[in-house]
Amino acid sequence: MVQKKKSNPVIRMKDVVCRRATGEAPVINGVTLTVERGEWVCVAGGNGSGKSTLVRLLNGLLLAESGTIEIDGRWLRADTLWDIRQKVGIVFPQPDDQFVGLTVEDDLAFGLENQGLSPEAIDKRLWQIAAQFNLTELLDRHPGTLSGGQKQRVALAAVLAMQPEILILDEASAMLDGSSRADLLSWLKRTHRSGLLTIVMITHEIEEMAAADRLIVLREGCVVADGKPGELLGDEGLLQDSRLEIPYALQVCRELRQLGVETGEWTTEREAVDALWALVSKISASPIRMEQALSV
Amino acid sequence: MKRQRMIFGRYIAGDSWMHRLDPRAKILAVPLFMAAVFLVDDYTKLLALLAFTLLLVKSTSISLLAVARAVKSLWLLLSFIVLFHLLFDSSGAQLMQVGAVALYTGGLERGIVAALRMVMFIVFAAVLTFTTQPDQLAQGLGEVLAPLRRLGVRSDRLTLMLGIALRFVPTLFDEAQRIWKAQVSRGLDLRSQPLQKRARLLAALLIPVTAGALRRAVALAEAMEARGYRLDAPRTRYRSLSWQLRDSCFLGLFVLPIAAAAWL
Repeated sequence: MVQKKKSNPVIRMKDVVCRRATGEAPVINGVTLTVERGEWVCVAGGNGSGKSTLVRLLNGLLLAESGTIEIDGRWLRADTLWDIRQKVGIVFPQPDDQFVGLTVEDDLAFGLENQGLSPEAIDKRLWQIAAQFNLTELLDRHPGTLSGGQKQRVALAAVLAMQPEILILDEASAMLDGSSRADLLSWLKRTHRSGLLTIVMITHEIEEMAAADRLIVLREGCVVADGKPGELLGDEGLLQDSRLEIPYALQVCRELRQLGVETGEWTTEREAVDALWALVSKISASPIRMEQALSV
Repeated sequence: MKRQRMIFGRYIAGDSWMHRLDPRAKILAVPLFMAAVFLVDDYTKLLALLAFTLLLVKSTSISLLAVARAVKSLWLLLSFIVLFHLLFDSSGAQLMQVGAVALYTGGLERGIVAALRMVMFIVFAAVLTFTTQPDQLAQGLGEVLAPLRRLGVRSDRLTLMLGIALRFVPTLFDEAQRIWKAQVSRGLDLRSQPLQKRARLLAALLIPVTAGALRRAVALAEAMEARGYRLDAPRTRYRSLSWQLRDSCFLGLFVLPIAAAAWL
């Protein structure tokens, strides 16, 4: 008998409503969701769907008009806000707008100073995180002199130095080039495997969505879909209605199927290329004709 | 290299004794030095004081050329000081008559003395900023003003504000340059415009830069809050300043010229 994994939620939102200003339509309109400890959740949706508002609610940067938010067993209220912020770290899309320190070292120390750590403890934690993110050579640099990838690494390290339990990435890869984005994704995969961090990530990148445990799709402040990324990313109707792009790899796979080439349905380009490669290898290894192979 | 200079302001990295001093000692030396400069009012004493200031520069790794450049950048102000005294001070013997304006030796002397005083301030400020990292300067100032907390002065806020202002100078400078280039690429040409229109066109630069700065300020405030910053809440300091014997000796060094100026 398969034993069901015990539920251990770290985020619980119930009927949460949030407006930007009184009288305006709600940006978040009755959202109820639960995130398990160690889970990797991606939040997707078109512009103005409420993604950024949703993650700001989790850190208490915005307060809900009605409904309840529970983080690690504590209600998020004005009096618990500061304790909860220690548990929820957030990385914003523009790294330039998050630097407080005049040097990378000072910036990494900023959050730790707010936590009230002693200079010795700050020093120890700062060097650990700098080594982990390959920042030791950059510690005395002004943030403005760093490349886009380095800046985002500093922003991420500065948040992780505070040892949060939940990491929120608000389009944190939006300003990165392909190689830096791949580095971030591979770091996320490694971190997720360790199970120590719950990741909530807003992204438009298919690769990132596909790598997550779960995908939540928002439309006009409501959750319209919540499930496995592989399933939701194949739902053309859902994606179109939510103003999301249908994965290019999936479009190719479906076009090929119409031509009689069965590769399966893949959402990421890497998976689709692997499947096509396997098919091509099979054909080249076999003496049968191409048309016959393609119709298999 | 130019970018590097912009970003680090006027700080010149080095390991001289001035570099190693506690920033508080250097900040506290400013009013002492100013007192000495104001107490002396003749050439010889002023030149002696200037020699003392230049000796200070010479004892650091800072080149006199860098200091001279700092003085040169304010030549317009220095000329104005001399001219102001020359035009409005009619003490001493008449030097010459230029049209309806008579120039006097007293005006010239006082003008030169005032300009010399200004030169010494510039040299001292240059040495202070050349040998102190901006963040250390901000922290030092915050700690020097800390006793004023009892009077309601929030020195910790001041330190943070100064630090953030210094942090954003290069960012806003870059942004201004970007916006300027975008305007020029769309045909903006200030040189061909009359002065009045030029002022109006400058708004095309100032408005987006100000709007950008405000947007960044809101984003930064949000990021700071998200990282646990609370206004006026107690927080620790990663870098602590430590006052050494050399810092006391440095301050003592400034008592000498004051005493000399007052009693000699």
